[in-house]
Amino acid sequence: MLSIRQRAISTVGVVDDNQKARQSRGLLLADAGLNMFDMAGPLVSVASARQLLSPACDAFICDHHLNTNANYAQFLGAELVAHAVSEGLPAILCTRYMVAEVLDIRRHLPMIPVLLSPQDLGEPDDLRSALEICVDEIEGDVLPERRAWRTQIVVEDVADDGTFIADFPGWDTGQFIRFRLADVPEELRDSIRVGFRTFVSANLGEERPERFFVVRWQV
Amino acid sequence: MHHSEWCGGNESLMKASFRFAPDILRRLGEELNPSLDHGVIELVKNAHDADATRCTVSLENVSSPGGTIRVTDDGDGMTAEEIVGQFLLLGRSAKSRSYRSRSGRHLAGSKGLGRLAAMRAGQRAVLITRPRVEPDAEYRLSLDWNAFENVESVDDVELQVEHRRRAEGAGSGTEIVVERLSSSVDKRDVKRLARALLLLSDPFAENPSDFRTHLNASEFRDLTDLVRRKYFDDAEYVLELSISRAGEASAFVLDWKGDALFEATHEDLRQNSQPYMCPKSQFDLWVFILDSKRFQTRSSSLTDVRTWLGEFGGVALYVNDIRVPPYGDAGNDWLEMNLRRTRSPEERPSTNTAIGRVRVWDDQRQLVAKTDRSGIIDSREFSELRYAAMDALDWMARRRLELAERRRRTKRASKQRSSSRAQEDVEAAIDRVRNEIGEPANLAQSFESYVAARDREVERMREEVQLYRTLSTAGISAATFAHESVGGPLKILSDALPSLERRLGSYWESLPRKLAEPLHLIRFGMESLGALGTSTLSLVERDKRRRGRVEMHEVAKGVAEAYRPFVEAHDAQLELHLEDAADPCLQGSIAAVESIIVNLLTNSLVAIPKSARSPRLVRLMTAIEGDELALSVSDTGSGIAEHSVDEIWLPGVTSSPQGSGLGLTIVKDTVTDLGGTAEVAANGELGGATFVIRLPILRME
Repeated sequence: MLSIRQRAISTVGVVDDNQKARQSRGLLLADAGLNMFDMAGPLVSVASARQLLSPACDAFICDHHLNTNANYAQFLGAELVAHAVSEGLPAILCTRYMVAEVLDIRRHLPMIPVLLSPQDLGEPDDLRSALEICVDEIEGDVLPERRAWRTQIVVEDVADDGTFIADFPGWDTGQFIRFRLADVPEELRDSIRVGFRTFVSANLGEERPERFFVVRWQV
Repeated sequence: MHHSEWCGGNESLMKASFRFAPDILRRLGEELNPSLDHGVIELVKNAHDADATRCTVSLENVSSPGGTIRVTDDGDGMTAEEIVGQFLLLGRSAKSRSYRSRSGRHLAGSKGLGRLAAMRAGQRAVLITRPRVEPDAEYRLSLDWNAFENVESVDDVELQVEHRRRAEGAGSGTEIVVERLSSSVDKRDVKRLARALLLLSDPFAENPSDFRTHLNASEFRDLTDLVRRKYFDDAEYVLELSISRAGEASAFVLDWKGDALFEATHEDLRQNSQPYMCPKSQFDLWVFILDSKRFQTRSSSLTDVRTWLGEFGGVALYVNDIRVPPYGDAGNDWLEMNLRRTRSPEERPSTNTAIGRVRVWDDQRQLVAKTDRSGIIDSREFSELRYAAMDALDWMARRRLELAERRRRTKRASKQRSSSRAQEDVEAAIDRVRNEIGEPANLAQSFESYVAARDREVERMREEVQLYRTLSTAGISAATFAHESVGGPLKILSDALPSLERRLGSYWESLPRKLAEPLHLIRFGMESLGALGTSTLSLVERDKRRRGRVEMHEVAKGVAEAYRPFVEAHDAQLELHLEDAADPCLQGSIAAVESIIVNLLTNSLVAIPKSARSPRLVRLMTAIEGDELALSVSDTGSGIAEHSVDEIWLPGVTSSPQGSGLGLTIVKDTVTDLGGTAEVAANGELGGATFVIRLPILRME
């Protein structure tokens, strides 16, 4: 059992549409002295999945691609993790993310304290520190690189598939970030074209583009 | 003690019952109906259920606290008994006994909790009602909420239903007045209320309901005007999906003239052919193409249609003729139209370019509204209804995509036809010249040989395209394999193996060689597979195909790191020598540069095992030569022997039976595209081939 900020964590759920992958995740939990709650499908909706999880476990690890197997879930792991964390249930999003996944995940990142690839969650110590970060954030203790600051955004390129690329002059890394138009408030979507500028709040302390997010768009 | 008293003889009993603190009224009302429009709509639904034909909501002096809301209808009214037995009974209404009103309307109201919230919005609520069945009577009930503040239990406050003689000529109906509102109502609230009232019964229906709502506010007039301006005729096409009582679905897509473009049977729509387990329903969706060219010739303006769609776009849900919010409200995309459009934008409507409604005839009450009025409870029936609508949207997108593809093909075929027509024209022109001025020197002959040369060129291009297609297919399969293995088997291995090592604990150190060795090999194999998957997927990342400034050394380092495990799997070492004093950039795409380096490295990996040279080595090097970057790849392989150094760039030329012979062609083509040159030494600095690519660089930094 783990004890983090007076929170006892003895059972950790595993959400993954591959049963064998859930089983193998259970090995890590057993090695960490934790019980595993095997979240079998089908999961009808994010809300009902959360309701199944929260009495059954104290925290959970979730894969992102839950809908590759249509009989398991119709939603993405990022949605479930963000929903659970917003309701105070610690959750870790663990997935081999590439650019395409990040595009899906980014809009949920403000509510995803921990995003890890499976190799970064290989040892019991990794699990413990991930859960600590998660519980800290739920209790209001947010990591510096996850705090949002007001900054300017400039649209650099608009693709014809409903995505666009933006530059953040206030972000030191000089990297561009791709967003979906759907991530932007509806009132702004028509304004998105090359050269468009506005203000947003973003976690400028983060250097890894895959964990960079925007919380508020100035309309 | 009026709720409990001792009774009986020797064995005494105390009668007891539940009582409720007044706070429960506030909590039930506020928490179940979070906003004013929700509450008022519940009062209006009560008017609907009382068979009213008209219900008017008036807002008086509401811009600051202390104002009044008045909801008046011309329905059946209530008798004194109905006020006591139904109106004041919270949580269970007469509706639980019957699904229909006197005139046969499906009952829409909730269990009385909704109207409680609305009536609690002020300090006092007054009910005045004139029952249809008692033509002379009028009843009045006044609820002073302050009276509930200092009592212990709700029923400690005595309420009185006052009987009066009805004024001459007054018809039946009910009026609820909520006075001394505790907060102000701002413009946004009014607009929300106006929209909710207007959309309560489908204003766009062919046979509008006989129940009309009205709000005395300019926002309502504006919206009513907007509703009246129906732009359905400007829709490009219409989707119609019907689901029968037995769950059997069928669909049509009609064009703007009303002619059927596509038709779907149940099997076309539903993958597993099972019936949809939802009540009888109908989904209609009008899809617009908001393109200024199309609107040039129409009477309605693009801006007007956009405004109209902005207000009413999206798909509303009507159960038994009454709208269920929030489906179809701004920001609610319950059929995932916008989400799917952002994933595959081709031929899909969004909530900004389409307006629609799902109508459900739910006799069995299978769709149950949530108590807080925030939609329908998640249930099998509701999920099935959503899936049916989404299946229809998917089907329509597929069919429209097919149509677009067919148009593209026709266009291509007609281009070919027009090119052979052009050839005929030239031949005719030559004939005319020949007839007019006699045989000019070799004109016809030169044209013939030009045609023959062009045909050969076309034939060669056709073969090349076929080769590229084959390879793209192989590439897609590789990416799919990588994706599947990275998410499945590799993930399992990378969990199971460290766990095995942990569980072996201290035995791990002292493990006999015959156990340790296979374990180490499994780990090595697993890591190589992981690298293979990641590097394959990394090649197809879309942002890499974007044109811009490419930092050559960053790309070289990235490819080298991704390919190091494969080079090492061939018992070879990969050396990377980048000219450190420089950070060369060029104009192009990362994908282009990667494809040059990857193809050259792959080439080396094939050549290395063919030579006995040791140690095995691949060297990737950069050097700045004036305005160019020289990128070279050398290896200790067998060099180039079977073909000349000029031939190796041609498509299909390969020294390996499994090879495609396209790798070096792609290198050469890409280098040419980037404005560079490629050359090769058959036996270079490490004994095997050395390829040198020279590319123009942007500027030195």
